[in-house]
Amino acid sequence: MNNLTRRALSAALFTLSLLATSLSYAGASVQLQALQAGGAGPFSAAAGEALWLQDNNGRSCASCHGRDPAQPGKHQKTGKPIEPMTVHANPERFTDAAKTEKWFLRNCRWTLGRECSAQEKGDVITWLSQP
Amino acid sequence: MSKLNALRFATGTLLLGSALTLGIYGLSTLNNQSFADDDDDEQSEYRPRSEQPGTDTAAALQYKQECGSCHLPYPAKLLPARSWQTMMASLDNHFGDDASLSAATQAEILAYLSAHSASNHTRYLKGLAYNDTPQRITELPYFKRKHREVPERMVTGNPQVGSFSQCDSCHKDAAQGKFNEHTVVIPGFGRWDD
Repeated sequence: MNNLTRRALSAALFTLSLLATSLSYAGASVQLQALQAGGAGPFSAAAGEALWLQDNNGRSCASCHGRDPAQPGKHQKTGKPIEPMTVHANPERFTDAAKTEKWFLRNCRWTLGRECSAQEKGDVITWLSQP
Repeated sequence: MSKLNALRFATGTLLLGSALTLGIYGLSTLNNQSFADDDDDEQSEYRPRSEQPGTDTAAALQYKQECGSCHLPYPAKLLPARSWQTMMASLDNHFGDDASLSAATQAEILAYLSAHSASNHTRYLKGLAYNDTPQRITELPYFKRKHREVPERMVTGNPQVGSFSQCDSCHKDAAQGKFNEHTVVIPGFGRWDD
């Protein structure tokens, strides 16, 4: 393999990985746009982080997901491992809107005792999808 | 003289052959007997099961995906259909967790669980009243009987296990629906052999 092919190959690989990265972030931005279309926003990563760490009678998002969402978590009761929540660490996150909705519904009700508002969801997604 | 030798050789071969055959037969029978001595169904469980009915259908995969994202997808056959009905109707408080599903998914999973429930495998229901609706597999008389020899300190008192509901901590093939005791390894204690 000569130098030129090698360069061409690595350039192609680089472009591909860039494309893959932008595609995985695209999921989050589509979901944010949908929330905005419903009247929520603007979203704040800082507010998302605060909600993540907020203690609710001993429960928080961090109980199962961990304080650092780039790290894997663990279900408090069953011990089942949970993949990282940030798009950076886990490009599959927020690529399936139905899945996102399902888990927001369940986990907000369990953790906060109520459903999350569109604003709260947007804040958390914004925080988790920071590059 | 050579005729006599040939006769001797033939007799020897015959005797040795029958002794070996008898020995092998004896060993295999002994093996079977030791399984038969085990409590009830070990023997059938130990046989490799080529057919795990309905474990690769779309419904089974959906069950594994939805329920298995939080815990081991427990085999449907371990609870009667009436128990699955109660459980699937109260997913908003699922042992203290919110495990809500869309109405459609919920109905599909209930159909799968009912079709493969213990109602078709009555040995798991032994000792249970016909109208009992147990929600915890660990509370079934069948389950208790199967685990009565396992000391608490190896499970509930074992930080690496924590609870009898964590099947796959010790049953290494639990995810494939296999629970026979020969594959049991208790974390911190090793293989289980009674």
